[in-house]
Amino acid sequence: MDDPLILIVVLLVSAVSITGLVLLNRRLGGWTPARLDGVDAAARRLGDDVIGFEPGEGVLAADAGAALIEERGGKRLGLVLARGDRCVTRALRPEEIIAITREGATLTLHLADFTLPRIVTTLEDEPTAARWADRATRFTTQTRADHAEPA
Amino acid sequence: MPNLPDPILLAIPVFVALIIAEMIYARATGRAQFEPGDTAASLMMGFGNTVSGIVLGFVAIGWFVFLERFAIFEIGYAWWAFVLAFVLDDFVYYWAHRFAHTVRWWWADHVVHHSSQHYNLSTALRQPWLSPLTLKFIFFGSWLVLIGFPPAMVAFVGALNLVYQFWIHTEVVKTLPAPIEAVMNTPSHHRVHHATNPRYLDRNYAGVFIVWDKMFGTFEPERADEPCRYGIVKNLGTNNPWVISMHEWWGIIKDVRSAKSPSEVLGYWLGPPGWSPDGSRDSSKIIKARWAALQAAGAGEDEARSGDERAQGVPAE
Repeated sequence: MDDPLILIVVLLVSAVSITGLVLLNRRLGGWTPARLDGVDAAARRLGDDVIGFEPGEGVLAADAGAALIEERGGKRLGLVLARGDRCVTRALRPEEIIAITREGATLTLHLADFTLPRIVTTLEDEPTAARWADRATRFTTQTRADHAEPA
Repeated sequence: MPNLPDPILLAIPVFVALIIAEMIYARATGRAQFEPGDTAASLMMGFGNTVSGIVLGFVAIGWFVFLERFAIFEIGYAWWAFVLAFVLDDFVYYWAHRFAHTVRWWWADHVVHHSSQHYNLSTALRQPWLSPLTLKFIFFGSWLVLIGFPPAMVAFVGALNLVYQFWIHTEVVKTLPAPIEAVMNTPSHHRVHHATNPRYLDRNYAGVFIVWDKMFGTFEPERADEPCRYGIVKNLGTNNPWVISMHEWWGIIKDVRSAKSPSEVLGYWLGPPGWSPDGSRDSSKIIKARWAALQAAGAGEDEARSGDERAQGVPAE
């Protein structure tokens, strides 16, 4: 690829091919956006992805696109997210949660995670969101206090 | 010196045609899966890899031109030299690939290729953007040139190796005849390599010949009772090419900044992916050990249960 002209042609053809392939993929279809079939399904998914995670109580987002699941013993907070036609999971430790905010039934988790810095999820109703915001906040503060070194 | 063609350049139209064929076959049979966001990300990573190869490739070319004068033999371009170079290059590829999974500095580059939760021909093109800057070519690319194979021949057989690896990124081909599965890297063997199931983690590093894995104890066959789950231990959840490219590099920078001693710096930089001073993070070794312990505990419970059933006179199935 020493000839600049060949180089430009290769790059242009590649760009056109990429666009064409993605459009063809969209046109053909055949994938289904991921949705969680319930808290149990989300817990199973976490168990598959995070070996040793012991799911406790959980809550599902109103659109079934996310779930929060406490770990028994309270060491980690499980998170399952539908992304495209797949699910992504995290077993969050307290130090990985920067802040939790709530507006009505919508919870926002600010994470120390380069690829998922901010998770916004709407729960079924406001009281459920308030309860889980409290639980998540308690999880971060209590466990941080447990981990704090004595003065 | 013969004017060797660029196999990758010649193969690009074939790559595109095969991806189209796999997409249509996937839609018709459901035996493969594509999702546009993931496909776009994989293809953009491949495009960026080509561009970065052009922009940064001079670093590697300069190194090999410099190195050639220290070659032990002058092998030349005989046909047997091509065959020998191809086999030896694949042997070196096995080790380079193994180190790319076990040293975080190189994993930060190679993780890009594993970051898709899909496994189709577009995944083969999901390649990193910063490879020349990791200097892997110095550690692993120098051997054949030092022996005396011409750098152009080494580049040629290396490109052939990569072209071979394109077609094994598919779920469409289940298994091939046993003699081929025994010697060659196949879609089945490479699916295992891309899987995150603990049993499959860090297995099947081969490029073309699977025999290296069998020789060095890293071979794992695909099992019908354990379907592959593709991706990485901590899947990204984004199709943003920039984030895909940079996430592990950023992780290294963050960890090194938080290190409390030079040994911690070394651990975060050159230790295995997932290494942490207190072992609180999940490296492959830790995940595999935890999984093995759970399997053993599960087997123990099953044995105890069947013992109880035998004692109570329950007929065995």
